Amino acid sequence: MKRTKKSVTLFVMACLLFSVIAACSNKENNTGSTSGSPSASASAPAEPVKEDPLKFVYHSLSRDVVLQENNEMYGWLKENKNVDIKAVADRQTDKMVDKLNLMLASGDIPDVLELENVPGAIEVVKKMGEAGLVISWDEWLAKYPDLVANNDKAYDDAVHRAKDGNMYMLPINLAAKKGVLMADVGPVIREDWLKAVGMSAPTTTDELYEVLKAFRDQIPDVNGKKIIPATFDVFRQYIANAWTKSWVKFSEDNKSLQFQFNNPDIEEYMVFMNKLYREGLLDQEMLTQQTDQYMEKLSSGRVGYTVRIYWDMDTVNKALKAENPETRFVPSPPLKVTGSSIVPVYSNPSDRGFNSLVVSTEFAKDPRNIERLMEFLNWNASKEGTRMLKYGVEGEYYVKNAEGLYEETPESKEEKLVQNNTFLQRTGLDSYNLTRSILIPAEDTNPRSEEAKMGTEIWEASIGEPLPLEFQLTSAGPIEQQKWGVMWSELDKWTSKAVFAKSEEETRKITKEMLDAFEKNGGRDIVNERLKAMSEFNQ
Amino acid sequence: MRRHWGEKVFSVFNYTILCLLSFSILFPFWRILMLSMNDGIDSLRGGIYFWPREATWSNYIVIFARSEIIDAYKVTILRTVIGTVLSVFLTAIMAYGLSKRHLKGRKFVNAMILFTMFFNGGLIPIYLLLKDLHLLNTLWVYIIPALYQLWYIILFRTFFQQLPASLEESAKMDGANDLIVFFRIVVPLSLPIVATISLFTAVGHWNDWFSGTVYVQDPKLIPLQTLLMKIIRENDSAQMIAGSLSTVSQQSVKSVTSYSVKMATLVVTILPIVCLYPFLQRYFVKGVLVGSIKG
Amino acid sequence: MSKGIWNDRYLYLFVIPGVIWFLIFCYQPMYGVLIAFKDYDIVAGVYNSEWVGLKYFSDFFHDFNFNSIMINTIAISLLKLLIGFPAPIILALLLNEVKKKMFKRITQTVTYLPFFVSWVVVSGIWYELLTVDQGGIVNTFLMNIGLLKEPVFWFGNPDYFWGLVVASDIWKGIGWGSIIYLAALSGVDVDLYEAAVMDGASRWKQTWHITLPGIRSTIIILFILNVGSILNAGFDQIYVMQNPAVMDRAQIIDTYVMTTGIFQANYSIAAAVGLFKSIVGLIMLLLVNALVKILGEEGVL
Repeated sequence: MKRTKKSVTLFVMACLLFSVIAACSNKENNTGSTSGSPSASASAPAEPVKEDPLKFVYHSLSRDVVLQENNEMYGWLKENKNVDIKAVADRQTDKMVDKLNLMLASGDIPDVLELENVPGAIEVVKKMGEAGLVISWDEWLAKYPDLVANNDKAYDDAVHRAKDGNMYMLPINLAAKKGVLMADVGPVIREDWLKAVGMSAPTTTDELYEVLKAFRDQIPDVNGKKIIPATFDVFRQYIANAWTKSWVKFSEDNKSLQFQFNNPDIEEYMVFMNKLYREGLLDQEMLTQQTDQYMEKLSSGRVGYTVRIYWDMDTVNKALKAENPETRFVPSPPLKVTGSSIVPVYSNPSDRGFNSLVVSTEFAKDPRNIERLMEFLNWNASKEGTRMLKYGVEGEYYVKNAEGLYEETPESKEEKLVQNNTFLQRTGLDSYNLTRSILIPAEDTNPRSEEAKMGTEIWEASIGEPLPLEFQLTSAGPIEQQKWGVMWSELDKWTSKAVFAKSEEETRKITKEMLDAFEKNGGRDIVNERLKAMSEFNQ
Repeated sequence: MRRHWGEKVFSVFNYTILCLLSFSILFPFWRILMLSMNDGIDSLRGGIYFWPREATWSNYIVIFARSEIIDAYKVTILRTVIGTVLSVFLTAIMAYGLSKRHLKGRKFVNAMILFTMFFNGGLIPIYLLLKDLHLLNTLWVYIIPALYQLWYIILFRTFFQQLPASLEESAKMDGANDLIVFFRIVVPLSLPIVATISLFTAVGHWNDWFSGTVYVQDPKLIPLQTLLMKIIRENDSAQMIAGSLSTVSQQSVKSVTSYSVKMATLVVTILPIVCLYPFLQRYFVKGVLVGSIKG
Repeated sequence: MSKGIWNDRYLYLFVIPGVIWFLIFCYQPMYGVLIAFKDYDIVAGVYNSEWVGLKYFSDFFHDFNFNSIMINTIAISLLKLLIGFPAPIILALLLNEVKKKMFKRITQTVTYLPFFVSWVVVSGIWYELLTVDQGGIVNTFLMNIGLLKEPVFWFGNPDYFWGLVVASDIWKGIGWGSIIYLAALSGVDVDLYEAAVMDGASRWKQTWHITLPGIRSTIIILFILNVGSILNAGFDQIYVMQNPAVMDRAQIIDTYVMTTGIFQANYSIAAAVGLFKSIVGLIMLLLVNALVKILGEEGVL
């Protein structure tokens, strides 16, 4: 018995030791695959010997559709373009910069990496370049200018070029470009309620006040609960834009600027919201509730007016229509102050690329690899390539309609309506559009819902002008880096005090305190730092 | 025996409090179960309390129709079983060694491990270490860095210290060495603490989602919780930023929302544990104390 | 002396693998603590990054919100320690008194369910129960029995925030926390109870004189360990439960670190603040540990 106990212990220890050794000698699964081997023929080729397909890993920190192993597009690309792409969908939301930093620290970069240009990410890629981990795109952009056909060179140079003069990433996904950017967000209002009170959608703050009062007085309870004329979530900021124009406002000569949190005009916004609250027109829980409760209020039919992005509006409308097909939210004009000339701005066009493409030096060691990759990307960026990658073989899933625009075939539409369908996973459509090329002008029928299409027109006035170049192209200094997040949470804190005060004088008093506080606790410093950077840029 | 009327009152009071507590927990959980079986868009309208209004399995289908789900379960079960067995064994024996007051160097080791509770290097140094040890992207990255936990060592040690010294002394006088004393005497008496720490460790493995996001690239090596989090995020339209619009507009009409999927993932996570726990409960019975050593 | 070591050879065999593990996985990466004193540059690595000394500590101490952050953190931690720590013990004792096995098992299973639910969901549950909107269950109930005239805006009032945090933390953790005490309870000698009953002691006296002393060591050890985390007021919980209306009472050290600093400045800030929390926690733990030993008990060290 003694011996069995001893041997049991020794056995377990041996197991542990063995597993440690096994782990140590375990060849780690690299994310990068080795380069595709070019054909070995050294003799002068009379006819071109077909090379092995170019194999690489396309690791995207932005995409989340996990494709089936042998999806159709993968097969088509292998057959027709001689590329074997292993697509890894690894969407990061708040951990983007952390993941990039880990790659930087360990030196493990996937062959082709796509990231989102969230604050901080571009800096990490520049560091990767300076450390020799990723290639410079300059020579390739000179050879294949189509890759940046839609880009603005000045913007890219200012934002993406590293201090050593190299461009280590390809900025892509120019969804905010003027002409491409469609209005996505704005106020929405209940169409059926407007009909019931016989009024039209408000365009100014005074009109909004009257409409909300009519809602309060005339719309009956829903499901036994009182209605809520208006409620908001973080997008309440856009109501403030009626006074402050945008989250940042420039003087005529761009020599001074105000952020929303230290713009004195915000006082009238606070007073207006306070008035709504005191007269029972504004949801008391506006600042305390969580997204789930907010969406529930909207979907249960009790709310008349709010500000939403179009896809959330669609979700809510689905719920509303399921109960009563006559009820829905429709887009409402951007809200202006009565008699004011300020047109609120909800989005600014910009030459900003939302994503970047990066290639590892490891992959580019074999010159044939990188040449073929760039050829492929060049095809990707061309109109034919883009069309193919987005819409597939013509007629299979998309057909050209009478106006020459791509439209889904009835079968595709039907398949997509099925719950939990695997349309995208099976076909691979749009997932291999590595350069995220956009066709300008657009070549498909706008797939948005009816209400969202209304939004692109109704909200169009809220698309402003691009922000001044000096502002877009300078990056945040150290003070702004440290205090930016705090400023906005402070603004919320003060808003909750000001909007829910007992009287107008109290609101005004609190707002003035807030503006004073922002002068002292960093708001003024951030502005000064920015202005300095902007003036230096201009020289 | 004579039951004090005070004891009866206390008994009623006790049962009432426990019932209230249980109900305050049961009601929201019943609701979670109901919401997981209700159509996501319909749930948005509110009002689901006791019974689903539009019953559907679609929230669960979203989870189980994923091709990675089988691998995810495999990974999680493997790491939980192997990790728990190894961890509990190693932690217990170390704690036993540290519970002997006469052991030289004991104070030093105690201080050394306590120190680590407060000072750690952060994500990047640990990542680099794991890379150098070739643990990244393997199953062992879930197990080896988690083999020892300070709290569990201390709990085991406290328990062992409480055992009557006479037990071991008499065994030693019969010529037994430490190995025998530990495995034949101490372990059978320690079933409650072993069961408890095993439960804690296993649940720790079961719930961990973080490791799968940073230490592993291979989609076949992702544990269940990480996969579930991915699924919830995918269905969360609020997370889509302006740049990814093309995928949004082309996606099908979905009637699951991230909230309804979240409810389903909760049920999937909790169910195995609720099923397992009763089996462990029997180990929390009064410990077996050999009567012969008394006196 | 070497004889002593040889005698204990198996004990050393038990302990040494653990020591090696701690050296590799805890001490090797510990150089990362230096990040708190440097302007961390990932490519240069920790050792080659620029030394800035106490800059980030100073930034933290001089932040205009520092006072309220510290007050909130300490207040919430203390409340959790004073009220939240005994709660699972009491539950374990109550469960111990339950005679019906089935009821005991079911109650145990139910009470630990909230442990597995993330704070996002738990705070959602609490928010809905306490909502000031029509139909909020708690408010409606309290009004129906006459305790309230109007619904109370629980989540909108900064004065209630600490209470809500402690209450929901207890709700979430009480069941799971009681498991360790139940295990300890099962180690109390049955004979002692029999002897006490023979002497005519009531259940209450039995609890006070037998049960509690029996699990005394467990309670003390866990208390000391909890004191070590004194400046961790519960980031996951507070982050989801906070809102602008209660922010004055809701900002704690960890949420400050979250909002401050984007880019790589955040690594250094996080490291500095983390180090500060650790040092305070360590000091507190050593103090309480010494106190406990003076009182004659076994401590953590």
